Amino acid sequence: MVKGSGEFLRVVLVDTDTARSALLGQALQDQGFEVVERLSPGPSLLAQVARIMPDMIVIDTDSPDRDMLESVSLLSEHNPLPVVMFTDEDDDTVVREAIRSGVSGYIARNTDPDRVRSIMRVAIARFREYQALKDELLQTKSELQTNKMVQKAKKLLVQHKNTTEQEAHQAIIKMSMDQNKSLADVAQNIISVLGMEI
Amino acid sequence: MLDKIKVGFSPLTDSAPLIVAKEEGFFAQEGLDVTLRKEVSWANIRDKLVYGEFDAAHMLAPMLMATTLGLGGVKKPLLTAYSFGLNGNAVSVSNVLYEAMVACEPRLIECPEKTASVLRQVVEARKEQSKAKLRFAVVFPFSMHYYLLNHWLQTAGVDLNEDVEVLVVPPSRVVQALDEGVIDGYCVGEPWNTHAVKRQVGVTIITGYEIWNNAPEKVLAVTEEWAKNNSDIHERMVWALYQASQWIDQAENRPALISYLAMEKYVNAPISSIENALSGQVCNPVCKTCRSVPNFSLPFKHQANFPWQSHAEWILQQMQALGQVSTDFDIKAVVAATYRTDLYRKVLAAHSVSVPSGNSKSEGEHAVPWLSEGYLLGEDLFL
Repeated sequence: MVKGSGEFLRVVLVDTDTARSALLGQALQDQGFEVVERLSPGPSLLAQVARIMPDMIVIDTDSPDRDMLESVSLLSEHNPLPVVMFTDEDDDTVVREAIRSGVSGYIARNTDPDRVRSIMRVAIARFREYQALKDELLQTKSELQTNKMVQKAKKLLVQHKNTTEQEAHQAIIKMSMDQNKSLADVAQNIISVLGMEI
Repeated sequence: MLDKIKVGFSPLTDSAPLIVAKEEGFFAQEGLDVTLRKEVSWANIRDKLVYGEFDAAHMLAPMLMATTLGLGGVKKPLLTAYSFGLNGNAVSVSNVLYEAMVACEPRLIECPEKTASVLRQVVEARKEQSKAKLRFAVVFPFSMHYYLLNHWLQTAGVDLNEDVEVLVVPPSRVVQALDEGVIDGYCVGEPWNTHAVKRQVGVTIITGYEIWNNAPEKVLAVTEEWAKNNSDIHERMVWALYQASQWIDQAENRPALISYLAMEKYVNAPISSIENALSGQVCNPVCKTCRSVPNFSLPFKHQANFPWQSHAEWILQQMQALGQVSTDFDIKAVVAATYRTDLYRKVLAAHSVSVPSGNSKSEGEHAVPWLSEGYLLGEDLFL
């Protein structure tokens, strides 16, 4: 599968069973993915993944490291990666239901190779969608913080400079434009200067 | 004929009510044939519950809300009518970090209340020396471990994002990760703190109980849909678990309990590592003297199995404060939908056990057990 830039998507496989991971690796390669490395599970996995910087990870569903890899994007803002699970249980309800609902990446052992490609594609799409949501949440959070700081700075200006709230607000916006600084930075400056005197 | 149900669990000491209900026959008495399925990851437990492979699951309380809100995975309304008890977590650090902390405070092991400020001194010293941030592990992003670790650090002004690095390591792997130097410390449930100490890989410096007295931990999770279609089975399951929790609380049953938990198909940890959490002992590095924390884990007493909505509310507030979820939804509505005190009350009333009439209790106000409507409730102070 080809990335926007024309390169193949780089995949890391995590499995203890080398025979099985070789088979799946072949299936992925046949479908146009580049399997850059096969890793053994364990705590040092994160460091290895960080070194390789793959585009996605395919991991055995029986590995406890699933929680670790999936959560990288939840606890930090760097190296978020789509994770797809593969499993030996062909008749597992989870795999059937997950594939039917099209929301999680699960590959069963006997999945038809063409299916592998579409599962990976769905997993990547869903991952990007989730990342977009997360970015939006971060932005909202920082907007909220800016808002709080501007409010506080305004209050301080009203108290100290004897202005109306409206005038204080306009003064902050003007300073932001004149000094070419963000509203948050200007508010922070006002708070650190005027806040000290209280 | 017995009703067949499948329940997923994570191999931790607090999964005990499921194991006891199965082994001591409380499930069978309720006409339930329960298959317990051990899972290696919380994400697996969540997915298998959501997709109907499991009827019910031993789940991190915050995961119940995260899944209901669709955070980090599939969105599916879940609910609980039963808490697996209170407390049971602790923070442990590597021997190297312990040495650095003891250099600041020689009596560290006897002063859990000082651990966060001592850690801050170490964090600041490392900053000056341009050393890498300390790395702490929790078991999942939506877990009491994460929120308790955050609260503990905050008491000393250590910022979870700025001053340290937090990553996820599954419970069964934390001791290895500490040993290999991948992490400097962790907040995890028993037996994995005691196990690290007994293997001389790390030192337990504060228990979850000392961060928030009688904090929530795991719950019995079911999907809203399943609960609606199987209300009778759900109620019988809750009653069997209630009796199992009562059984666990009786000291004379402890040897049997420990031998069940140690079994390979359940927690699969050495008996010596399991014993301590149950008897409220926190081992120190030389293992000669243990620090006594009687409520290290609280399986039954003080209404420990009641799904207090004030617990759920605190969890959702933490999620918001840490930026895991937006602030524009109605916390109370999510709390009422996920923490079903009405179902718990209905089950217990049917067996003539009376329960508090309130759905919430005060948190952070009581330093000693206190009476509410004639029920003795546990202390609830924060560090």
